[in-house]
Amino acid sequence: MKRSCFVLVMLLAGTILPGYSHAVEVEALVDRTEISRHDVVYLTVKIIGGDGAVNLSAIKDFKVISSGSSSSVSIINGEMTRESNNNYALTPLKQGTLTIPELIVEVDGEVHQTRAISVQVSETPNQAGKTEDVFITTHVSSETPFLGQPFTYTVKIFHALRIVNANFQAPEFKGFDAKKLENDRSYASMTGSRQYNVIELTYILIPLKAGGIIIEPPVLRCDVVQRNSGRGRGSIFDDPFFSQGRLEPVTLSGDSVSISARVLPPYEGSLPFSGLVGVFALEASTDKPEARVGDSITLSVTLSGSGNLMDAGEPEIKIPESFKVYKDSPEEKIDLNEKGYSGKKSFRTALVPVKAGEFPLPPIKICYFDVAREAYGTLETKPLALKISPSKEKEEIQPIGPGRDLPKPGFEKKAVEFIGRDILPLKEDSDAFSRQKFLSIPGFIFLMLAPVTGFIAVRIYRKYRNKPMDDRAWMAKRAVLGLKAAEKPGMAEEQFLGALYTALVSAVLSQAGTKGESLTGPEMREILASCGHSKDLGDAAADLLNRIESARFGGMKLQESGKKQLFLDVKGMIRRFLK
Amino acid sequence: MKTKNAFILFAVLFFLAFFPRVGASPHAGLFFDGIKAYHAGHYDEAASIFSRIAGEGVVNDKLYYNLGNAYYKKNDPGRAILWYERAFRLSPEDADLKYNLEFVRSQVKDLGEDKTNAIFKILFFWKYALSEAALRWIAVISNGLFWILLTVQVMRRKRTSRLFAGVAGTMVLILALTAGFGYYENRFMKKAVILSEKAVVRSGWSEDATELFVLHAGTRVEVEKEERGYFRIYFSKGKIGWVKKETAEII
Repeated sequence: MKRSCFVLVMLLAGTILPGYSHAVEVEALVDRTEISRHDVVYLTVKIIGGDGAVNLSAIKDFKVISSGSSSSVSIINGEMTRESNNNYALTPLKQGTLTIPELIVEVDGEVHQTRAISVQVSETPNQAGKTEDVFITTHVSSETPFLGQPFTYTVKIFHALRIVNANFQAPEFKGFDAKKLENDRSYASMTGSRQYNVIELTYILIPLKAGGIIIEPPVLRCDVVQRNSGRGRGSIFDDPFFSQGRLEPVTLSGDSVSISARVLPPYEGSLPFSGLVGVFALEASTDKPEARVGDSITLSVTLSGSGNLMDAGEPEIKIPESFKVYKDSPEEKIDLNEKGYSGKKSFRTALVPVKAGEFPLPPIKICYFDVAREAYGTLETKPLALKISPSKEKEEIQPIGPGRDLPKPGFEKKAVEFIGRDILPLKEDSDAFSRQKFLSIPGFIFLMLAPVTGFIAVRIYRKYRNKPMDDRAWMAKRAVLGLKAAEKPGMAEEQFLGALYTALVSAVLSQAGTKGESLTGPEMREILASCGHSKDLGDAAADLLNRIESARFGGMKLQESGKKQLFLDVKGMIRRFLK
Repeated sequence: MKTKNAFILFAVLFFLAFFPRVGASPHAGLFFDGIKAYHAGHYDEAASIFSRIAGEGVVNDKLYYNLGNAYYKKNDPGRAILWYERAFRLSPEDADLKYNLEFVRSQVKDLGEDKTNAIFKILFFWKYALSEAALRWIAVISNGLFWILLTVQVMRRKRTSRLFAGVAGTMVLILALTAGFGYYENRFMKKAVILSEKAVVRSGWSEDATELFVLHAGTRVEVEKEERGYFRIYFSKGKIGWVKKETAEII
């Protein structure tokens, strides 16, 4: 029974987990090889036996739009094969014989290559008439803009039939700084004898490099709602309100546009060129023509117009030395519209006079490039003059004391605001150039672990020290302690003899490895004999015990010399046992 | 006596190993030349001198701060922010540095996102208020005190309160982990600052790759990896791509 189950499981495993085929093939296929200028050719890169990354950077003649991928797994004769299809829509960038080169496909670290495919691209047959249901046009406001000059790029999507599921892909605008206008326009227009709905998208472009730059064609992918045929004309069901119609997917592109960006002509003026390109005006004003020493006067310089206003730097303002100058951050209000960037940028400077007098402010000048005249121009403000009177405090200096009015309470407090912004100064301390040494990671780990190690060491030591001694060691220690106690000077005789007795008995018992408090002479002999000591030693020990007991319990008074001799004899005996 | 000598020797070795050596710095003259150049308005020269000192391996928050100032004055906000950020890692409590960094950051064109949760900043305030080096020392000292206290308790044969040991031990552990995470963050979670006025972020590591978006000087990004002369960067949610290595520098 068990064997049958095993065979069944193996068969199921063989069915569910078939062998995996490792042979990888890659193939590039196109839906057609002859297209018109505004058509799209669909490319499929098929990877059989795996899944990988397709490098499309080699395709230069077409604009590539990914249109998804799909994968499938098939099992034939127990061998599993994986197939993935990577689909792309290619829009031709020019006409003629274009090539889709060999494409590199990387599958599991191995490099494979597809074959090259040639595609014949001819001029659009219906270009002149524009009688298609849906088409795209592109237009630029200037084909030869100057570097830094904004111009518009407009895409118009004409559709005579309703379109749904639209997916518009704008060009990448390589070589431009591009911004799209937010509000797309939508209106109706007659082209030939046909009415179209038009969706207009506008981009503001600024060339970033000089020379020829191609703006790639925009691409629109959508479904066109076609009327269902089959009913007679005039049928109520032909009305789009009642009929959804059938959806026909289309992919179409507009024309690519060639731009020739011009460098600005050489500038030979004495005033530094500000980098502004466009049409501008410059104004300067002060919030008051007169002030007192210490008061603040705001000088506003406003640059307005259209062009690269956002790049405008602060104009050079020659302020007399009798003023302290605090510059504020510039304020700009720049809008993006069909004419490009336009608006104004204001530079405000707070001037605080430190001296009384009349001070003329010379005109402020900015050199820019006027795209309307295609020549450099100079903007100049009207000269301003400031009349500064002595400070009020100076006029009203009065000694502080009785009779002088103090400032009236209840004056309005104001929030302190910055009148100038700058970074804080350098750090000039003597330690600012020395190497700071930091605790390294190994040092950190060492210092973190060291106390833990110390703690563990102490714990181990304590444990070792507190370990209960065995009887032999304990009795030997007791013998030594007894001997030390007996050695103390000035000890009473009874205590002296008691200590000697304890020391001798403990020393003998330590030989037997047992605990005890007292022994008789025969017991002592027996113990020592059983421990391998000689009979003489046993007799000597028993004799010594007898001498101690006789002195201790016999009432015999010991002389000092006798005490000393007895101590030395016991000490000598114990040494013999414990050595 | 022997124990005393051994202790003195250990103390001297410890001092030499963990504390800066005392002595005249060879960079003093150069540093003051940089200060002089800065005050004279020669910011290029000042930045070059301070860079030279930093290039010789001098790690010092004040030097980095000065480099930030010099680059800001020479109208290079990208490098200014880079050096301020480097100084900030060494000394996040420096008020002047914080002011200058915030001031220059306010002039960066790109609006980034602050990924750090505000609650996280409150709960782990010490991580944001102290430098990595200070955190390490605090962790070491508190760890040392904790274990010395435990050792003394053991030697005095006194039982330590479990609550005290638990709370103190957890605090020491949190400090040690914060210090460890700080090291990991600085070593492995690399951040970079955009140096070029405009850095094009592409979909891949080639000039042909699609331009996804543009970042400007001073913008801080996270560097996920480095490949074929490009950094793969994360700017904000959904804004990921590749920038040329020369347009950004790791903090």
